[in-house]
Amino acid sequence: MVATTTVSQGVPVTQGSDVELLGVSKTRPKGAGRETGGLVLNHLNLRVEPGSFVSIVGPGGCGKTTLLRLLAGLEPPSAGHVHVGGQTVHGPSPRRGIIFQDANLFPWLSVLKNVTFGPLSVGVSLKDAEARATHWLTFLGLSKFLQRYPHELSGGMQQRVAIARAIVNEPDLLLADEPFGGLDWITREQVCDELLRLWHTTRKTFIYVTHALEEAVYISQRVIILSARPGTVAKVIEVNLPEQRWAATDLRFSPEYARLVEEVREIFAEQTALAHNSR
Amino acid sequence: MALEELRTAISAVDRAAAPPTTVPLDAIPLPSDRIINLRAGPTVIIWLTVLAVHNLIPQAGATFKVPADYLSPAALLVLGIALATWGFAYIAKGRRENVLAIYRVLIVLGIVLIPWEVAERLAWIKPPFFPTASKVIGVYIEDYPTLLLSIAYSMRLMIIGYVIGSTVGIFSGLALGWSKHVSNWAQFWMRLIGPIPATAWIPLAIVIFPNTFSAGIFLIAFASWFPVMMLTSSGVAGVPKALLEAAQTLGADNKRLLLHVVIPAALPNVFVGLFMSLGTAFAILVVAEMMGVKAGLGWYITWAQGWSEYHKVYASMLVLGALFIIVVSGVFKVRDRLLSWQKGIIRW
Repeated sequence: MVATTTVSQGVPVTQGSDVELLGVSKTRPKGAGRETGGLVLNHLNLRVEPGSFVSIVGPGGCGKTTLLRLLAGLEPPSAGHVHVGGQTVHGPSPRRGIIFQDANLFPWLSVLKNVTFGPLSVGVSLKDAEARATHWLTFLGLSKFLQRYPHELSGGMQQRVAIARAIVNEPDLLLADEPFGGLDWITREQVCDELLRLWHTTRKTFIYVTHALEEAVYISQRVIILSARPGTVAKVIEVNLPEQRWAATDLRFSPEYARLVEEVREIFAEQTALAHNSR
Repeated sequence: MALEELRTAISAVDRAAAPPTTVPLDAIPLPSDRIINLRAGPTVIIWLTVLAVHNLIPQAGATFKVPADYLSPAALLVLGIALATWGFAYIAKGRRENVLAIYRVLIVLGIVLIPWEVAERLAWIKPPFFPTASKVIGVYIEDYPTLLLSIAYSMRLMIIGYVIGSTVGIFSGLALGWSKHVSNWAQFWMRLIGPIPATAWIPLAIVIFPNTFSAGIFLIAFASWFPVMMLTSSGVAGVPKALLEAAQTLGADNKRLLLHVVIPAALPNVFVGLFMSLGTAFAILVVAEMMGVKAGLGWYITWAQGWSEYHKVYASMLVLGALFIIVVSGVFKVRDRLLSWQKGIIRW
């Protein structure tokens, strides 16, 4: 069962960009709503191959979100270099899509218009933008909700719209910051599968931040475990599970999956313990 | 297959637990026959009482001239309306909420009129400061050309001033909320100048402007400018950072950010400012017309007061109130169109 699904239809062409973080540090000023200032990321080195799906886990406050914001260009690093697709990141760009923890949809725009916002921002014609938006919304099972407003949708559907909105610009790198934290588990698994399917179709580079360890193992090819604050890469675990995981319904019950989750859990626990001891 | 089965089972439970249908708020059951009768009956009785008090109590004190009686026809008209809507409520059941609203107004009006008429008939209160209801109604019949002209002049002054003031308010509010530089340099001065009551500008306005009409426009514009500016700028400053970041990562430049994110997000606040400034603009309208504009309802009030014709004062006050309702509901209509997306989020 699992074995049959590992065979993918030929080798897909990789279109995603590679990501490189060299000696990246980030310090934050103390105060201004934060009780803890100081070093958030400490001399972090990381390379992500083009077209791969990588997830990042780590103890609370280790700088996962900060790392993602640096990659998106929403904040500059205090030291070090952030390269995406061979170029230094300066500010946000439509080449790097991001899905936030909250769907962050524009409440005054319909579902369709939320998704066409991106293409229209980068100069795509209205007709093409609508065609592309409709394509991705249909891919995510939202074809019946194009004219609805975000508040009329459930949390899971809103997050699907957010995925469509992030992917419609066809970015080379898609970042996701605990995107499904607010969803119930069944919905969460479904949307996870959709994201996985999306990655498989588009072959962009996906970086997925989460605090759910099972999810990290389930969704990605590599799990990067960050150390306690100040964050740096503690361990990288390769996940050698079949690619089309959404088709393998027994995957979550396979011994290999259980072993990987256990491994991630152990390292995670070590890091959390370190965090507590250092306080 | 276990997971698939679990999913089916859970979604089945979900469906079973969900309430069969949710009743939308606007599908509240229509008022019953009984409620309609309970409003219509008292309305008729109250207005028959008005008619009786007005016609049956003999006028105390000497009246050297019997004035024209406008209250009796008016009360008869109200009775006619009450009976007609009573019948209408049975034909058009869908309009029953509107019918009830009419009854509520007529009942309150009648209850106020009865003691007023009794006091008037027994000569407990004396004209001209407290005229009879009949005389107030008479103004609309005898003096309507002047009144209509006054309304037209007032509306012209009001609309020109309000549109100028709120336009300037929206643009300066956007600049203040959007640009750090504008805010750093101008914030202090805006906060200093803005709260000065528009009436305090009257001496200056009269000197600067060539005539009282343009001075009036300035005062109304000034009065409506400040609330709109403050609320627009706080609306702009309060646009969720997350929405701006989302738009930036989608490739929006500054222009698009301003037009398609900041302005729509700030619009609910802008409308709060527009409603607030409408009130101050109305107050200043009357003040401006009283201070020297040679037409309009404010002028009409001052002029009538000069002749001790207080019934005209009250009649035009009622007109002012009605005009305010009309103008406010106009702005509400615009808001409803522009902010229809808010309907599901906040209470209207």
